Amino acid sequence: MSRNTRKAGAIQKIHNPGLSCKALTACGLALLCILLAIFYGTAYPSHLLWQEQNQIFLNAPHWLSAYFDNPAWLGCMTGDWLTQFYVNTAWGAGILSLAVTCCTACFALILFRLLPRVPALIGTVLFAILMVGCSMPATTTLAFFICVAGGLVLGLSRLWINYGKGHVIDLSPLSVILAYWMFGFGALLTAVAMSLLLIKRYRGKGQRRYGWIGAGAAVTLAFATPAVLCAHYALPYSKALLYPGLVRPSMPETKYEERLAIADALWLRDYDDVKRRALAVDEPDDYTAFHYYLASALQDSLPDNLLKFPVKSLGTLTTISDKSPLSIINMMNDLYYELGDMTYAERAAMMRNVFSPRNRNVRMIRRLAEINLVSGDTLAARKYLNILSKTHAYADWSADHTPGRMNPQTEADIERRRARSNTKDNIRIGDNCRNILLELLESNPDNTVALDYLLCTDLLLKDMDTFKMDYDAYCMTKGHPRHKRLYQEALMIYLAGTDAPEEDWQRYISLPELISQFNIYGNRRGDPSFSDTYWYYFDTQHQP
Amino acid sequence: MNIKNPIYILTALLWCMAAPCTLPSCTPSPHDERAISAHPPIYPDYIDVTVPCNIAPLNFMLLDSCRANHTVHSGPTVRAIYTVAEARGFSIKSHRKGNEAIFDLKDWKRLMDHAQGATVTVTVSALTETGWIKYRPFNINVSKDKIDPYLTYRLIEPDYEVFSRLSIMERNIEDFSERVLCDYNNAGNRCMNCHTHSPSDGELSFLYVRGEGGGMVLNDHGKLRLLDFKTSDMVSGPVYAQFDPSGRYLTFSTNVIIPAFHSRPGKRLEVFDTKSDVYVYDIRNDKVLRSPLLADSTRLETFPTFGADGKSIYYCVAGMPARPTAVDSVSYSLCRIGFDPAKGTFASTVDTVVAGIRRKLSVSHPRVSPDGKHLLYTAAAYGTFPIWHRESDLQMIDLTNGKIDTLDIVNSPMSDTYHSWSSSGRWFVFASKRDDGLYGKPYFAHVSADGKVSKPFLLPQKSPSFYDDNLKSFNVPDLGKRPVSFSPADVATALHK
Repeated sequence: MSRNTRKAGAIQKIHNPGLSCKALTACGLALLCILLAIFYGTAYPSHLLWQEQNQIFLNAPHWLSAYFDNPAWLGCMTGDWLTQFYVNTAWGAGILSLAVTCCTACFALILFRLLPRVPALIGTVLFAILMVGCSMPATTTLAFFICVAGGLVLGLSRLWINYGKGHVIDLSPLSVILAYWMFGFGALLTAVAMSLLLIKRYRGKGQRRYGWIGAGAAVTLAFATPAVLCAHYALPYSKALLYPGLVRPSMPETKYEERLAIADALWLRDYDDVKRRALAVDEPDDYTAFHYYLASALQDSLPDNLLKFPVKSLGTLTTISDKSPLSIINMMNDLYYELGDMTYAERAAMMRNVFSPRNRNVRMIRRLAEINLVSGDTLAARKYLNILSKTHAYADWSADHTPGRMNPQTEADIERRRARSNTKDNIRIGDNCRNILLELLESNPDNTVALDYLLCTDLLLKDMDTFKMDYDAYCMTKGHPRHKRLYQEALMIYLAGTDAPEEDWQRYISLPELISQFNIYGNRRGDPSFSDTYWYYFDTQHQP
Repeated sequence: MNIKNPIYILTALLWCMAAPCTLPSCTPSPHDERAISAHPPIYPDYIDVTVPCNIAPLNFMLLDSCRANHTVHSGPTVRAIYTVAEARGFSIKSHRKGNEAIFDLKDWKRLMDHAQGATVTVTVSALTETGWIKYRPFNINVSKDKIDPYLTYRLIEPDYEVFSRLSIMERNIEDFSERVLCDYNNAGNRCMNCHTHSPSDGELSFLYVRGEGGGMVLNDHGKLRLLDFKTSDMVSGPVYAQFDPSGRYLTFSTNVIIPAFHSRPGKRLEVFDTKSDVYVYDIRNDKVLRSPLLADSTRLETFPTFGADGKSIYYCVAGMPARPTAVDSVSYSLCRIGFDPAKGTFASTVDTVVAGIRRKLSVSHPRVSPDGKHLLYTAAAYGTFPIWHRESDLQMIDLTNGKIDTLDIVNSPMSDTYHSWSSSGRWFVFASKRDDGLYGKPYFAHVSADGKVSKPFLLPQKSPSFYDDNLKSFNVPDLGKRPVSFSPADVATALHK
């Protein structure tokens, strides 16, 4: 075989890896895509929704043009644009699985041109695992995958350009600059892929020197381009080099998914689902407890369920600051919004927005619109509604909530919340929930959600004097005794502890059958058969 | 180079998709116009405003009638807009689909050249569902007085209690270019206070970076250095500071600031001081100058600023409230104390310029015009944080006769505050929340030679809908004659030193 024929054969091999291997890889990729879509759709829907809500994408020219203020405009713009469709789980699962598969496919295309089949296949599988791992954290972004895929595609582009005979300079490394502009850190992948392909190609042609020059140029450009442009983008070099940011791969965050799903159910006002999911959690914590109790309160059953959940955390003893995790800020936003304290609901919504990536969170913008509608601040509400009207997913919601165009159900909901909200002015330093609850009850004594939170907090703290004082102030004095079994049990403890006269028992205790049980419990204090009573909690549990 | 593969097909496809954008527009032209007697409902409101001759194009958008009346949502009722701006026989036009009138920068500059000291008449025609409407033309007065072309401001969410990813920006208001002066990427994710120019020297300025390793970053003609002049007896580091006209001194206040919230929705944030004092820092000699009159522990002194000649310091002062949260009983007065810049000494008496309690208001942010004729301040019902007080208005005192102008033409039902002067004393900029009550935006107002103030106008943007979607407040806008000669990387270097 002549040297030329051997060379042609080698080139042929480079361009056409074995068909069966190609087919195997293609099948593997298709299978990966399908399996991932099923996984994301069934086991990860709340992660997808979290990512969708952690940003906002507006269909406005100046919004799009702002992407050019940073590197990776194409990666970020495409990623953000596609992420808005995550609001639909099926779409989200499809998009993310396709993105991961595309990254893997591009990597495979490169690897199969560089390595023999088996190592290439192993490398591809490892890369697929890496990409899948990168898709697992809730903090990942689609822009990351677009940048990876974009960088690899531009790296592959050298294969598709034939300069013909007699060319002097191979200009393909210049595409690294383009890669940086469009895909940020993807330019590093472009440089690596292109370098390896150039070295391989020119070695095959017996022009090894050209290969090394091209590779050197590509790698140099990958590091030099961010160095030159970082001043223009006002980014420090390290950030400019890796813009929009790398992702640390992780195992599936199943526990976090559970927690997110509970919060999503609350957001969708499916309170039974919140309780069902919270009770199904293996290791319940303050977060799950908070949602369980809030869902119960919104079904007017907080006192009925207070002792049914193993963890006692109402959120009324939680404060938020700039150090608080985002999930806790979300939690407090939900609590204050449902209680009717629009000042602190707005504060938490603003904080959540501020601490979101790029200071944008569509869920909180929606919440800010709601808060201002309830507060009657139409101008401010209109600001947020206008923004939402330019989104794909919330334009209809925005129209439905526009003053003057609201449907009766929405209007009634806003009115109901407005009636619950604070009408008195006071200066608050810090978020002392007790003060907030008292102010809400002063404004509207019929706010049973606030009342139950106040009384239940007293009971969890076993502060019987304060409980009695609050019960008197907001139930007895207002002529609305709240005949919940929990409160009756607690009142018995207070009455027994203070040797209250018989008329007090008659005045406070409306469930006489409890008195005999209380007497039985008195002889069996701490008996677990009474574990569903406040008496048992009072005797045996530590206050939170 | 042969085209062999999909990347070229993809590129060709992208070009095909982009091509319609580059083709000549098929925008319908006005015909059979129905004239109506009303001015066009536009945003920003540029009707009958006075603008400097060096301002960027006043692009605007036409609101549908519902939105203009603040009733219901905007809708795509305006399909095309045809705008002609004319002055002294020279005219330019904007002819576009949609509801935005956007002028070419070069055309606009030529129009401004023609219109100096005269009026631009703007005629707007709009294509709606019912056909073309021709609105009553409106006027824009173009002043010969130029405004300092560089505006710096901090972009921050309108919840000053917390922050993340702050930026201090510089905008050239003669065009639309904007650049970062300092931001979270370079200075770390910490609080940065706004950039302040020296009134007389565009190359002298400072900004304050809070947190560990932070401090006041002085920009002296492009050379940055970190100033640390906090002494152990000061209640805090510098909070509100201003240069004297010579650039040698800085007067500043130290404040113990307490953020709090109003329980009633809509009133939102309240911030008050529990301690505050005023000092002067001699930059040349690295020395803090003090007066017991400015650091009285029984009183709250704050917001100091030098007079135009540097021989007096204006500041605000209030008595301590009975309890710290009794903010609504705190009324700051505007006072003045003499200062000898040669010796670095203070006078022994204090004059009250505006008595807060007597006038039932609280004064903040006094700023003397560079020509020394006027002093602009914010008047709120009480307290020291007017940005969240809807009743906060600007007032201007004529320093030659003490007459106070309540600036009705400038103020709005929402907060108007955080003002600063252009170096000529003919313009001032301020942050107003008039549009939505939440987000501060920079408005400019003209002060004529006889002290008459004109209707203010909003900083123009390339896209008039920019403010609709913007989720940051323009905080403490400040005008400068020249672009600031440092970069974010320089600030980072100064901080690391």
